[in-house]
Amino acid sequence: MNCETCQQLLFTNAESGPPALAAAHLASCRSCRMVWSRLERIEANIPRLPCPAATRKNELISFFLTPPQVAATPREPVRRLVFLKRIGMAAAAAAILIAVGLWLGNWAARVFSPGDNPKEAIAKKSVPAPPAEAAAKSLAGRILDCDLDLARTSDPVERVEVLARLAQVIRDESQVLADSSAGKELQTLARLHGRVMKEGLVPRARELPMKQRRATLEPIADSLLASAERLEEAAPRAKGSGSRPLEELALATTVTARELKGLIEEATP
Amino acid sequence: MKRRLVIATMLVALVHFAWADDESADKDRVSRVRQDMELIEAFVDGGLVLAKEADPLRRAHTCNAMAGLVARDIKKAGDGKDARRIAVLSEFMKSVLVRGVAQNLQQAADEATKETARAREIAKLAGAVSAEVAPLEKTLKKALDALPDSTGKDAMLPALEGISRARAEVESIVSGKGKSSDKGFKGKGKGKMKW
Repeated sequence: MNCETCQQLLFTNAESGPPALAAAHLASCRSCRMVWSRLERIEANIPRLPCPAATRKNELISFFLTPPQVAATPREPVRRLVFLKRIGMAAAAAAILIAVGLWLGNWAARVFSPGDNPKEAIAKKSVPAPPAEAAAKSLAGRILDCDLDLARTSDPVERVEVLARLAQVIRDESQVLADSSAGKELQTLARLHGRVMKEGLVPRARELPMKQRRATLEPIADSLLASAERLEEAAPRAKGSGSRPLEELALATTVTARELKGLIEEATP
Repeated sequence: MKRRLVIATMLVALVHFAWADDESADKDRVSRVRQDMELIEAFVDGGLVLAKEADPLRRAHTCNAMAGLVARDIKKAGDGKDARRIAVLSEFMKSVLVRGVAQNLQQAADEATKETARAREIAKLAGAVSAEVAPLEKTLKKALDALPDSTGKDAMLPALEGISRARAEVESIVSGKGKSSDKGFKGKGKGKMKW
């Protein structure tokens, strides 16, 4: 046994005396014997140290001996419960107010559009939009509008611009439908969009005169890239089987944008 | 416990109520797209053909084919007594006839030399369009007369008038009076229509 081990044993057994394990080492080591004698002296002097009078023991005993009393005022846990209930009620009231507010807001936004008087607005709400307006807003109507613009022009620049608008119309509608679990319709729209890109926009862009390419195609390519980014962001949030068609739309849009950039590069001296 | 349940139920009901309108609007939109899907596909096909076609006569043919599909859907909607859909489709029909068929036929007629094969083809197409549109007009007038309320009639009337005007424009091309009515459909065709 070395001095360090011996002294550790002495410190841990200061009250009960040197352990048998350390006895042999103590007999042969003067310095450890000195440590032990100091420890003995400290232990002997501890009871002589001044110490304040202890009252906790008596208090603890009397606490257990005294019979329990009914509290005159609500105790802490009860108060906390009341407080939590109040918070809960306040939260519920706030939620009701928010829900009512949202509903009223939606209703008012639709019914009381700027410039309408309330009676007319309510009447308008009950009567569907006029056919011309409904036709103009429908997807078929917007596609037909692009078609009829294509039917009146032979200008290559205008054709490319109208085809880009046609593709945009399909992408916009697809993004709206992605929130409505219309997977089958979205797939068809993605396919049609792909055709507009492959069979319409890119071949017509290729026919553009070199000097017109950059001015015509650059804004379209930039807009396509921005649109692809939005579709990529929307795809994971789409309902049901809507995410895959949105991914396809995004891919077709990105590929077309790159092809258009390539055509611009071809025309750059 | 009961009170909490009532409050929770009320909350759910209110939130659902607030969003119910938006959901029904979404459903409407999906059902419209579903209903129009055949037309949408045909319009995309037509657009791709028109985008590469330089000949106004061929463009008129393509637009006439599109008008044929719209006419088919108008008849279907007429069978189902769906006044609203008839009115919307009639708007499509009016636009295809005015901005597509009549305008391109007029351009082709302006460029063609009289008594040539091309002039005869123009006249043939114009005659075919007129012959196809006339019975459709009758069907639409019948549907209009059968409507019980004035709201539906008011909605359909402008489209029906537009179709009649487009037929008259096409007929004027056949009779060689197209130039006199140029102002009518050239003006319409160049600018965008309301929808």
